[in-house]
Amino acid sequence: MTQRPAASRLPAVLLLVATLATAAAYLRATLALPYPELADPLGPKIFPMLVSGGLFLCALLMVVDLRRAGDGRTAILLEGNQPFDTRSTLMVLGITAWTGAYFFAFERAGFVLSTAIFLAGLMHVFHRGHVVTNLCTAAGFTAGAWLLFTRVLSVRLPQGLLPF
Amino acid sequence: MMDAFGHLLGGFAVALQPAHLAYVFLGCLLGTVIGVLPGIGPAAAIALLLPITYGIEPTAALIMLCGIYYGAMYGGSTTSILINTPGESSSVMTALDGYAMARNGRAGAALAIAAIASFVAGTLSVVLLSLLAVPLAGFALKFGPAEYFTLMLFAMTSVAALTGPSLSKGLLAMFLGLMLATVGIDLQSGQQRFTFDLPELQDGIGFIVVVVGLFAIAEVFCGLEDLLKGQSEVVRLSGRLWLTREEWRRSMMPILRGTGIGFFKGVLPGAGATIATILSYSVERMLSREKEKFGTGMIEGVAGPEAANNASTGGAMVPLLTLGVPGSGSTAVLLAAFIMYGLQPGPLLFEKRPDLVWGLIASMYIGNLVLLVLNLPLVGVFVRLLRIPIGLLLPMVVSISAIGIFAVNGNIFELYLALGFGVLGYAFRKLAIPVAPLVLSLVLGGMMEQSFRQAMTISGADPGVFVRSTICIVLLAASAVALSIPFIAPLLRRLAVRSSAT
Repeated sequence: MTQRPAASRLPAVLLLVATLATAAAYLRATLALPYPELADPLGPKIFPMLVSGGLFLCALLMVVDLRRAGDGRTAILLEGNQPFDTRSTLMVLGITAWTGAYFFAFERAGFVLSTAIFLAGLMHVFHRGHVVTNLCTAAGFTAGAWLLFTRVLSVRLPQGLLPF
Repeated sequence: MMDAFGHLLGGFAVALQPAHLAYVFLGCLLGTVIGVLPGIGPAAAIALLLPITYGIEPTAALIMLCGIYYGAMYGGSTTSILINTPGESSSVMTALDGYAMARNGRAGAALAIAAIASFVAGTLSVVLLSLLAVPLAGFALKFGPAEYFTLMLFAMTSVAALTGPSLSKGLLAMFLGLMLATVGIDLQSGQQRFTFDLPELQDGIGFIVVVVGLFAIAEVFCGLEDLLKGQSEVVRLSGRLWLTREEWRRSMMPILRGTGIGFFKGVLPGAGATIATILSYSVERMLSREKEKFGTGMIEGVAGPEAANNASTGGAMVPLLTLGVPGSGSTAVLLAAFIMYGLQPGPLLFEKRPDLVWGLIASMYIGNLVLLVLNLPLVGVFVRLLRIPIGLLLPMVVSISAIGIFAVNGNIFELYLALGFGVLGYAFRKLAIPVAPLVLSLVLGGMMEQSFRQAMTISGADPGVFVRSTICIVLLAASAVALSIPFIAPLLRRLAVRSSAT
């Protein structure tokens, strides 16, 4: 097996740092918990403390994993990793922002309006060049889902700006 | 044995009611449809379709959800065979020879043997489940808090150790799940923990929120990313949709062997369907006189793993129903569905609600038959689903996810949380961190903490309580073995390579 360049190790190193940061923040929050008068002998802190200990153990195992790369073998921590490329990362950020906006409008504008616009927008980007199909699918799916969930399954969906 | 037979007859009386038959059919149909869609596995299928069961009485709802479970398990094989895109890891082995068969003009035969193997294995595994359920549920009545704690520890550590390339990543997912499980009001003291004064977090982080985010929304991100990079080609359905006599002959023993392997592995937590399919494929290759032809379209390479895949669903129901402890991500979602309906699977459920438990088991016999009847003639229709453009399909998955989450509590905050978990799920896939340990420990975390604290309270804070019974010692030893496998397996492989080189 060949040693990987330092760049491919970056996500693994970031994962290690994130694990340590999560473990430290969780332990700090656990220690800050008040001890209630009516608690069992162990109290509400002990289990979270064990969990934070487990997270620190994971970080230690990751260090051991990464050190394996030093003697010419592939670090286990890098096995199966897929590269983060700029284009994909930007795309995921874009979809996250658009979906966040959809969720923001979900109650305010209502299910029908927000869903139809959200779907039409996303389909316009990922099913390019089929404007009529995209619009019909977005409208048809929204209407179908609204009918199924509100009329057949009696699920309450936000009304928002429209009267239904 | 007679006990089980009597209970099963009662179960059939429940499962054969017209309404329940309709729910079995609907569950199998919806599960297959969702399972056929690339990337969406059984766990996401159950979570996405959970809102459809709101308002249905628990027995019917759970019958339908189980139908979705094994329908989705089966549906994954269609994408493996026709577009070389396994919906989940347990269908990877089917793709090796199934896709090759499709390229050789035997797509129809590959799909047919997948359906037949699933039916035979699924039915035999439910027979074994029926036989094991009563004695195991009786045995589980001996479990106290310490035994339950060690059992859950075993389930979690096995899944963490066996579902990814790195033990540290599996354990990380497990501890993150446990961490999330501690959010909300502590049941024993009434103390709020890690809620950041947000009232939305007082009841903890909703299980559906996490599952939909990690499985469905993350899949949308990954699917759209794949779309940017180019799609797999769908092989047109060609050739006879039936097997030749020779193909029948070659498939029978792999199906039976796959059933045995799949059921046994399904019962064990962590091992699950994926390892069962790998093992079944390896066994068939080892036993074949034409080893070199595996990967080029050998029907044994489809029949064995498909049987193992579906037998593992019956096996996985054994610990879920009898002990109340799931052994995989999908059964963890099913456990959450049980809890949502106010039911706690385990030995007491067999005593309190035998109609439900045995009705569910009986419905699985019917479900396997429904799957066969549904899949052989309708496979052409399901294949058409693969032609729906991903750019149209995946945005709709986000909307269904939003409905599913909003329908539970009518809470917008949970939608944002699900989006966050979607991003986390995407990062997990990129970094090859398994999701199943997180899901499992999130579901079991609360119960595990309660068992731990109850055991310690009973023993006067003496940790020795966890090594006082034989059951605890066996389970702790099994956990240690599971955790040591990632260290021992590479050593054994290296030894094997060295010995074959000399």
